[in-house]
Amino acid sequence: MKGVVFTEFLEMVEDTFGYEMVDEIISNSDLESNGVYTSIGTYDHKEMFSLVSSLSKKTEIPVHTLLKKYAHHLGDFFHGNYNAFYARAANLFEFLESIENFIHVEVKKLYPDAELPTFETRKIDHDNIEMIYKSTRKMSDLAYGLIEKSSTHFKEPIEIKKENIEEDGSVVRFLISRVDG
Amino acid sequence: MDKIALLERRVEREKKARKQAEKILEEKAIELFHVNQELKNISEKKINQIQSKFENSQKRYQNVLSNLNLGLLEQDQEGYITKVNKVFCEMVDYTSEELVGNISSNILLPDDLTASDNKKLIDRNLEESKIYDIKVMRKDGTLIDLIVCGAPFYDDYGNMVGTLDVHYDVTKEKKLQQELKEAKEIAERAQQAEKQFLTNMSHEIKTPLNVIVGMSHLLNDTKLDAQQHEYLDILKSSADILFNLISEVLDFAKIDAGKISVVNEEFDIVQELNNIHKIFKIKLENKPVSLQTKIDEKIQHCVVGDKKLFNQVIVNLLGNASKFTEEGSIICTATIVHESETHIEINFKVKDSGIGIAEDKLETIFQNFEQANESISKNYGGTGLGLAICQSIVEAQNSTIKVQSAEGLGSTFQFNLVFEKSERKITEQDVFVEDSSVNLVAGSTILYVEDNPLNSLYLSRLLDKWNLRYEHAENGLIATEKIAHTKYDLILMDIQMPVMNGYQATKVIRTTENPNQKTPIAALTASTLGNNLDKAKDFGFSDFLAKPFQPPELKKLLLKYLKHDIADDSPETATVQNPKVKIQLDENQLKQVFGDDEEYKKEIITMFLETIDEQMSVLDNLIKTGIHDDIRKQAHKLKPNFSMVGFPELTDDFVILEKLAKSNDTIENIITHYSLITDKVDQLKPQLKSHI
Ligand code: HEM
Repeated sequence: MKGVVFTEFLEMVEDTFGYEMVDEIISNSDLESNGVYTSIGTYDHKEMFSLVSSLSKKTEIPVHTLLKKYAHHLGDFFHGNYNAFYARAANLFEFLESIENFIHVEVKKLYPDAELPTFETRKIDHDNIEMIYKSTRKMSDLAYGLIEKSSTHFKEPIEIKKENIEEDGSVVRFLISRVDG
Repeated sequence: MDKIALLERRVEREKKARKQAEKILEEKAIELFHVNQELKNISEKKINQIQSKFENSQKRYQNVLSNLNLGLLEQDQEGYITKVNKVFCEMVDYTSEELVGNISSNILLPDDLTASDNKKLIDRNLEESKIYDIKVMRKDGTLIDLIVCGAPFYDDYGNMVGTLDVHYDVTKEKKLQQELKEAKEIAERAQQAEKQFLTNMSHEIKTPLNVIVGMSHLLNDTKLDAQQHEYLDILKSSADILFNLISEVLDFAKIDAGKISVVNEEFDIVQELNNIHKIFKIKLENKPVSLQTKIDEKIQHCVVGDKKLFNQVIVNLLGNASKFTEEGSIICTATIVHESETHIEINFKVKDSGIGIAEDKLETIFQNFEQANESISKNYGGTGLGLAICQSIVEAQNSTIKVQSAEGLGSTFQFNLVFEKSERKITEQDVFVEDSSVNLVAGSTILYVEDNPLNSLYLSRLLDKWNLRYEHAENGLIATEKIAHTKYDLILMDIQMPVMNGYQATKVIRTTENPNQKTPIAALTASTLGNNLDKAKDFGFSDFLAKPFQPPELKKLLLKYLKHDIADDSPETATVQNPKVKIQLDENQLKQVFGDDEEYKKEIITMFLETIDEQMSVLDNLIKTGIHDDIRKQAHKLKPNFSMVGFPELTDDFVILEKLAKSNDTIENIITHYSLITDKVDQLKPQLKSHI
């Protein structure tokens, strides 16, 4: 997993709970990297889970809530640094469709070692879109939060229904519906 | 303490992260270096590849150029040669070393080349490409013709630095062109000479032919048996044919040279047609072919036009018709198409029931030397020039001859001509001079000037025959001596004579004091081409007679200038003008009116016959009084009766009479039309009588 995912995570932890918490969860997790991350490096994605579960233990906030919260932070980071990806889409659904077809394709070009999920995106009708998330890293909660954040960026309120297709969360179905308002 | 330990840990982590990042960056830099190196190798290879490709194509291009034999020459702004290719060197036979560095115009342009040629080179400095041809001098001094395409070329900054000229050697082509031109000129000159020869020969032939024709006429007057008469006829007709052939060749030479000129004079077109009619009537005597000439009675005035050309066309068309018609009829008609105060357009038509012309040949019959098929010239003879000449003549008068024909169904040739109308009315009667019917008044003396002994013999025999006194002079000089002493009534003057020709002699007669200064002089000339009365008059002649002439022609001339006894002439009325128009009872018309009711029909016709004379005499009187309105009323009253009894044609005639009266036309015109009606009424009476 790309270093940027870790550095941003730790930044969020620092912003929200202070550096002591960063220090705590690094110290409490058994990390191959010893908690030393640079955004251009690449690290085992399992370290991410160790950090998140340490944080969850410490703060007593459930892991999925933390992941969603982190996703919100990451979404803002993407929006700030890769705005072009947002600008080329006319609306939210178009943007979501472009993750698999364009955004992650571009990411893979820049970072050949990036580990990315696959999305099967299918537009059902004008107001509904289905995204099937597949990843051995099982980070569908991160995806959930990223979708939520995109909705705020596009100012298109939505409702997200999430259902596991594979018990273990490696294949997850999202049904995203536009909400008038 | 805790805080410091925390910060130390943080700094430691950050430091490590930085080192990690730096290591990654260095790795990445090395990676980038290698990639870059690889990229360079690739592009160098690519460039080499491209370059060799470019060189190949350049080589190919040059190969093409040298295969095309294009000579290339580059020169700078001042005209110094900077580069030449092999082909160019070969063209001018210099080596590249001899050329490069020299001023192109100095070494390559012959000194005596006109400034204009050099100008082309100077012009080239204008910054545009140009194509021009030029003569260039080879090393050995010989000249070659080159086509040059010059284009400016530029340095990297876009400044013009010189020109690149592409040369193509066209010396051979130029030479060929020149030879072709010369060959064409020679051929044209030869053709011209041939034509001239033909013309000259024709003239030469005409003179002896004149004698043959003349002598055969004289022979005719001697005592001959039937056999001899027959031979003589053959001799005469052969001479006629020969004469016509020669005339055609002469005419053709004239027309082909575009020399056809329309000479307008006043002439009586009706009389002309009647005369032609008589000639052909005689020609057709021995064939079961009827000849009719129908002339529109409304042609009342003489016309202004070219009489000779008109004659020629009609004679030719009738000649063809008689040639190609073995039995049946030939009809020549002249019909008014349009008439105004000043002009008249007449349609002339010659229709025969002869062999006709196949459809696919119709287009070519007007071409020179074309006859509908080769067997024609075998069977009928002729030069094949007649129709071409006719067409040219008619075209010279802004019209065309049209032909309708089908094989075996006869042919119709027709054309329209527009004439100016003249004041003079046509002659109602045509004086046809029969040879025996004229008595020239004895006592007239004629001088004929003629060097040819045969012609002289011919002339003297004729004059003897007519009991005329004459004297003979063998050339112009002798004539001028004779005229000083004796007063003649007429001088016949040959043109081409030794010692003094006819022109000179006539000039002497006219310009010196002598008793014959006013005596009429007629030129005897073999050239029909120059036969123009105005021209003859310019030379002092009063008239001319074309050789060979027939006795009646000479007689006509003599009658014109000598006193003669008209009382003894027996004028023959022209039967052709105002021919009796035949009318025919229209049985169908009668059927339509009466159906099968014979009784009723009889009744009506009887009544018509009982009243018609009285009605006509009323009309007759009205016409004599000349009151238009009364004439109109009577015509109107009478007109339906004729349709009733089967003569709708007469009803139409009355409609015209009515119109003439209504439009206050001249009484003469009304009378003319009326006489046609009375003619027809006279004809219909017996027909009706016999019908009932
Ligand atoms: C401009 C927008 C985005 C950029 C630049 C981007 C880029 C990335 C990058 C760099 C990673 C890390 C891959 C690695 O560390 O190997 C990643 C992972 C991921 N991205 Fe995106 N992403 C974008 C938008 C989104 C959105 C809108 C979604 C939500 C559907 C999404 C879903 C994910 C998920 C779930 C992962 C985690 C890896 C996995 O589950 O296998 N991404 N993305």
